[in-house]
Parts: sequence; structure tokens; C-alpha cells
Amino acid sequence: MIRVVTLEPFLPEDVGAVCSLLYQTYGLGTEPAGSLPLPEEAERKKPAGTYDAELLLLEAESVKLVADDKLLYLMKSKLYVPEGPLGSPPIHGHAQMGGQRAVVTTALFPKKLREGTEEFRMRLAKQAIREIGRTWDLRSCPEPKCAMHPPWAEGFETHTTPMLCNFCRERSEERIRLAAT
Amino acid sequence: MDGVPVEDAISPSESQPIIRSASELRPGDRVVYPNQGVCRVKGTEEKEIAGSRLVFLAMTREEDSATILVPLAKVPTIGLRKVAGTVEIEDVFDLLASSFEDPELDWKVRHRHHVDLLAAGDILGVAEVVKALQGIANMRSLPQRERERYDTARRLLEDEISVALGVPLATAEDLIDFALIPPPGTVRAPRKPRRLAEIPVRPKAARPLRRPAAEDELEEFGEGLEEDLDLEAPLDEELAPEEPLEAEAEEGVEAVEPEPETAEPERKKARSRKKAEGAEGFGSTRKKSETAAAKPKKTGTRAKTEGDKPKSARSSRSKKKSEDAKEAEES
Repeated sequence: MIRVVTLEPFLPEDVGAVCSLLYQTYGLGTEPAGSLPLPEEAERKKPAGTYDAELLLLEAESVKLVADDKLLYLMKSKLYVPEGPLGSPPIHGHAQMGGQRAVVTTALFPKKLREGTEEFRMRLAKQAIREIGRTWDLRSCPEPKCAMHPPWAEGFETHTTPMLCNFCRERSEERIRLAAT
Repeated sequence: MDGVPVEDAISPSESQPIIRSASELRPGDRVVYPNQGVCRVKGTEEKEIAGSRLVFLAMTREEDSATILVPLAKVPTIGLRKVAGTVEIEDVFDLLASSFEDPELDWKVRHRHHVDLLAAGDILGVAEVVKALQGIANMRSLPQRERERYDTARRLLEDEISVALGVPLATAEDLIDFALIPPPGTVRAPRKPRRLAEIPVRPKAARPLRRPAAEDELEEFGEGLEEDLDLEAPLDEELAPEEPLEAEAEEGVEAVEPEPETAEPERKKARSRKKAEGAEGFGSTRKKSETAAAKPKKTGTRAKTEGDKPKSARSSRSKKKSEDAKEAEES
């Protein structure tokens, strides 16, 4: 079961559309599980208004989960990850690899995408698929059509349909089949 | 990636020290096992196998907590090494962010090179595999095997970078993606990587098996074909002494469609001449070879062919020919 929790206000139609597309992709029951506050512990002072992605997943309140359930947070604030040797990548979401929790933010969405539109929902769903996929230990995919492609890449924006490539789909099905429950 | 000159190449042993003895390891140490990933040393274990007691180095693979046992004597040979340090990680990102070279298009060469790089276990080698396959994926979809290899290489790279930088796996993945696929608008000067991985030299086989090159094969095939078909000799010349039954067939045709009388005597003469030649030719192979010697161009190949063939084949052929000649005489 995938549970979708909003950490900031979202239109219920958008959340519903994301749940529907997640169900179509993974074949698992997906439902909105209400709203929760943003964890203050994860907020960073520098740069202001950003949240430490890893800390957020650890500190955010949770809803009731059983084994193999996945929890997806939706938010609008920026996420922060430590810099690498080449700088900091534009973060659209974060996940616990092989774990239970993932978060998606709309902070870096193109400005033309407005809430309530079909494009916005598709984009949000595509990123949700990517982050939930990482909780099943799927890794980045070189196929631009695949939802596991890096979200800042051109191919990710060009191919708007939220779907997995054959390889990633098979992998995800295998992981779901081998799940503990 | 192959064509990049590497002037100041450092061997894996210099950059990421290979563990030469199990005594260098302590429980809790993190090591990298080629093709397996980051492992944590548990200690030594003694087990009885096939009646003999062996001491193993026990490790736990961090990715899935699987236990790996390596005989202590084999520890120096498996390429176990320490986790990459800051310098190596910088080299890896330098390589990932470098310009894409023309990928190796021969899949066999590419496969071999990538397998060697992964087996060597150097983090730069793993990064090179990821970079090369990403370059191919930018042009077309990867085939299944290479897609799997890409996934494996990425896992190995992400695990090690995550451990080396002390960041979560997802962050390590983002950092690699950021280096491989920069966001639109990012300007990076086109440049070559500072250094590449070195592949350990493969020991050469004592007696290498040699497959004939395609040209050799064609030549051999062509020669055989020429000998069998005797392409140099004109077809009518070749068939004339061998086909006494052809005369019979012609007679049959004549019976059905009579030709003008003027042509008949000439034809009969030619037929009788042919018969005589045929009888002479098929009487014995020796006679034929003598005839062949008299006509150098035509029979040069024929004589060679006859000489090359095994005796049993020649005898059965001459037997058949003599039978044919008898039949011709009777008719």
C-alpha cells in the first residue's frame, strides 16, 4: 500500500490524480492519507526556507504503516542535500533507498505548470513514481522516457507520460513480489 | 574512452591500496570487494570443509547483508581494497563530468572491456563503465545485457560514493546523475578526464587457439570451389568425355524430331568420334591423365584435383566410369 501525505496544502484533485497514476504504475493500492505539518527540526537557516531532505524523512510525523507500506510526502518548499564535488544538484525529491519513506517537492517545477492542470498532475505523478521507485531500490535509468530518469534532464520534461521503462517495471514488479508481506 | 592518453596514470594499487594480507583488516573495517560492492569485515571463521579445517575471512555485504566467506590464503588475490578516498572520488566525478567520447561500437570489444574493468574493481573503472554506457544510452536504448551491466555498475559506484562521502544513497545517486547529465543551461568546458582506470594484464594462454581470419576462410573456400567445379575449363569440353549417355539422349531426341538428311552424316560422324573418345577416356584413369597431360590448360586443374582426392574416391569414380562405358558400348 502506498500512502500519500501532504506536508503543505495541495488541491485534493491533484493528490487524487497522483494516487491514481501511482496505482496504474505499480499496481498497488494507493490512497491519500491526510496532511501533516512540516518538521521544524529539518528546517535549515542557511539557505532560509529549505529543508534537509534526509532529516525531513526521519523527523516528519508518520501515519500508521505496516511492513512494505510506502509513505510519500508532498511539499512545496525547497529541499537541501549536501554538496558534492561538482556542487549541489537541483533536488526534486528524496527517498530512503530500499526504505519506506519518500518526499517530492514542487519547488523546482517550471513556472508554466499551474496547480489543478493536467500537466501539473502528470509532472507531480512522474516524480512521485520516481521517488517511490527508489524506495523499492530502483536506480536512475538512462532511458529518457522512463520516470526513473533524472528529473532535471531534458528527456524527463519532454516525455510527460508518467511511466516506467520495461527494465524498471520488471525490476519493480520483482521487488514487490519479493516483499516481506 | 579508450583513446584518451593517460600520462600520469596511477595503478589501482597505488590509488586504492589492495589488501595484501588479512592481518591488515580489523572487525568493522569497510572494504570493497570487486563486483560485490562495499562489505564490512566481521572477523575470521573456522569451518570444516571436505574433511579439512579452513579459516575464512567473514564479511557482510552492506547492500543486502549477505555474508561472504573468503579463505584467508585467497585474500591477497581477490582484489579486496579499501574504500576510495577523497582524491579518488574527485577523479571519479572528474571522469563522469568529462566530455563524452565516441563510444566503442563493437559490442564484443565493449563487453570485454567493461567486464575487465568491473572485475578489476577499481572505482575509476566502474565509473568508466557507467560513463561509457550512458554515452551509448544517449544515442539509443541499451540492450538488455548492457542495461543490466549499467545498473550493476551504478549500484557499485553509488554504494562506494555514499560510503566515501558519508551521504545517503539517494544523495549519492543524485550527485552521480548531476555529473553525468547536467541540467539544461549548465556550462561545462569540454575536457578529458585526468586519469582512467588501468586494467590488469591478462595472462596469455600458452597455446592460443587461432581462428582463421575471414579472408583466409574465403580464400580456402574459393580454392575448394574452384577445384570441385573446375571453373577454368570450358563447360562443353569438360562434359564431352564424361557423358556417353548424352549421346543416347540425343538419339532419342532425333527419333522424335528428325533433322534434314544433309546434317545426318555429319552428326553420325561426330557421334562416333565422341564414342571413340569416350571409350578411350573411360577405359582407365591412366589414359585420361595422359590425355590431360596433353592439354595443359584444361587438365592442369583436373589432374591436380584427381591427385588431391583420396584413393577410394578415385577408384569408385573410375569404376563408375567404366560401367558407364560398358553400357555405352552395349547400346
